[in-house]
Amino acid sequence: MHAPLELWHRVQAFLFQEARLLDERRFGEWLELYAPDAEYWVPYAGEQQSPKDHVSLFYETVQLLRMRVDRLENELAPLDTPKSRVSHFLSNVTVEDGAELVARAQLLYCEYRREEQRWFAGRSSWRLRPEGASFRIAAKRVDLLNADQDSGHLRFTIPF
Amino acid sequence: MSEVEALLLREARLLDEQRYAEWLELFADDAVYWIPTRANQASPHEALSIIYEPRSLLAVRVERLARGEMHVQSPPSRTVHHVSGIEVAGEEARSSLIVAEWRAGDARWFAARVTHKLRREASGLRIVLKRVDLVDGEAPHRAIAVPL
Amino acid sequence: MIESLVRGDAVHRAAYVDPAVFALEQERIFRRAWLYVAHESEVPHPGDYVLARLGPDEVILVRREDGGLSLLHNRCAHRGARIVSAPSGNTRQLRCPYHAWTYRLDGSLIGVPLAEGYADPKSLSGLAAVPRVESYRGFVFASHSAQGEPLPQFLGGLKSAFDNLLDRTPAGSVTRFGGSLLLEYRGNWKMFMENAVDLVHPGFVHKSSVEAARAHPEALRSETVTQQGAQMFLANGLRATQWDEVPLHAFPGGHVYMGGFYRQGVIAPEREDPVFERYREALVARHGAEKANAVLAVDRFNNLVWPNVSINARFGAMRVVRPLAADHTVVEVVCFRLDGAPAEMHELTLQFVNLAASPASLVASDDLEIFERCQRGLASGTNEWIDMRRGALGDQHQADGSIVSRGTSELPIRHQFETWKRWLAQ
Repeated sequence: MHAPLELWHRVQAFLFQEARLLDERRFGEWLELYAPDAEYWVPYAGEQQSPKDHVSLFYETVQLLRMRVDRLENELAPLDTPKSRVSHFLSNVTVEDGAELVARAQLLYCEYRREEQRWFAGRSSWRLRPEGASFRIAAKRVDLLNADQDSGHLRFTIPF
Repeated sequence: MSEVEALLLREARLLDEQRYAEWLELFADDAVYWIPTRANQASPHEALSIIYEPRSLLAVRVERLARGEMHVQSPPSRTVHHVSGIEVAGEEARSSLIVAEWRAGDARWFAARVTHKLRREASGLRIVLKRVDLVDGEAPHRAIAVPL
Repeated sequence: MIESLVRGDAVHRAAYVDPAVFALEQERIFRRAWLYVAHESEVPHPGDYVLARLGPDEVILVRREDGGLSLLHNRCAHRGARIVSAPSGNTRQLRCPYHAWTYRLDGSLIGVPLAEGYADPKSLSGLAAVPRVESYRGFVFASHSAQGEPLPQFLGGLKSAFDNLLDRTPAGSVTRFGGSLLLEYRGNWKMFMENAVDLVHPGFVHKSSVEAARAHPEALRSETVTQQGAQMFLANGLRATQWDEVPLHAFPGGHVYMGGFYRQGVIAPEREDPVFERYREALVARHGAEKANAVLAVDRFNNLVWPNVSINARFGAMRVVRPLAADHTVVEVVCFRLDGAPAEMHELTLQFVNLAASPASLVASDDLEIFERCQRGLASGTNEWIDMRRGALGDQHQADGSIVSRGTSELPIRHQFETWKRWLAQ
């Protein structure tokens, strides 16, 4: 069932906030948006049904995500020195109403790192739990268009 | 759609349709258009900028674009300004911007976070500051002729 | 073979388009000549470092504990990993992220993990150092070659550009500030150095910004940044006879400078406003009135240091041209603060560079476009030779070995290619 306009608007604002926190490298605040039992999943293959029967690019709990972003803030991490910068672009946001809301959006992700610009495109989806006037993310899944591309791909810094 | 969102989308369309004089009209008389080089750059006096222009100088830029006799726009660019993620807080709007530019057989992409500071004037809502933080402001860039 | 590419009155298009010529330039010029690396103010304290380019290589400029400078290849002596990734910082030692080989700030090896695995760990190498590093009044140059003339001799007649920049500072020093702008174009690096002293192109290439500024006379009465921009755009609209009056000076070693052509308002060499008056007073306090006036009267515009630097002392700006391929170039633009001058002067410096040298500049963008058109045109072999005779009859040889000519002469291009030929031939 499509969400009413007011709800759709609040969900969209929430998703835009998540994207901006990542762009601004405010990782601590970003993780606050996630429920403690949340899952973050970036499948490797487009048609992948489950993270349990195939390798994934990311399949992480909030605790693992916390380690991931702590490392991004560690000056010694060779992967992210100098700091990379990203922009997330979300459009075509849709929301389905229910006990848990399901939101979907088109994603473009631009990364600038060591004088090189990289683009990823995909579809993101979220399961959201209403919490007061806002939400918590129970699950996020990002299906990248080119997740199984061979080369130059396997180093990711800032989450999608 | 709120008035602020409508303004940002209209601005993007005026640029894509090369209606630069109308685009300039969206800016208040004391407005500034700014593309810094650095992330979190606090002021145009602390580091170089790709563009830092008050409206009076932006008018010269627009005049040049309107005359069409500039080498760097012969042939002209075609662009798509893709605005998304608009968040409005009072008289400030933040958004994400992708500009796809196609010119003389070459395509390129710009990615940025944009801040608009707005003010209500008698003629309507006008832009007081447009700040474009490119994801790669410090990187080498080929000539940038069309406003982002 | 290389000599046959330069005829005195013409140059073969291979000089711009042939990858083999580019490779030879890299070997014989960019691996031998003195090249600008960085400014000492970027590494003021022991342990400070910056990453820089030296010809084709990435190098680390480090301030050692003893106050001296080391210039090291950014490449671990073990497996070859890049040691430093951050563009600048401060460190007590250099440590490879891969297997933690650790080096002193002079590049010598402190130690390696599992040293007992080597029969003779003392024989392991440190970081490779660049053989020659010298500073001219704070400007650090280096050469990949252990042999060659000393830096002051290399800079020759263009030492005066650095001297004038330092003379312009009330405190006697400059400080690099404001980050940098990077311009990229799909064209040969020499085009930038030729264009910087070509006084015929502005009337044609920059016509659109001249006319746009003429259509907005109110800009000249607007806020300072707008006045500065409008005056700069309008200055490119001189008549050919006026350009002819701007002198060009060519010095042995391939260096060239051109005279000034900004005559009005905030960009004139001796403008009148309260900020400039405060600056002038500070300069008089350092030099005395007579010398201060002489220093300010030097109104040169671009000073080109062969092979790849352009300095503008009056505006505290410098451009360094980095060749990437025969048809691909990046230009880095940096600024210097005149220590002891009013802060408003530094703002003007940044604004001038934003307006004149950014990839979005109304002026520079058209130059970049023209370089790309030249490169595409030169790829076609219809006519193998590029004429460079304009103004040759007016060249005046001076007693000090320099050559002077009128502003519209192609003297700088002929002179740069004479030097180019000499470096490539040996």
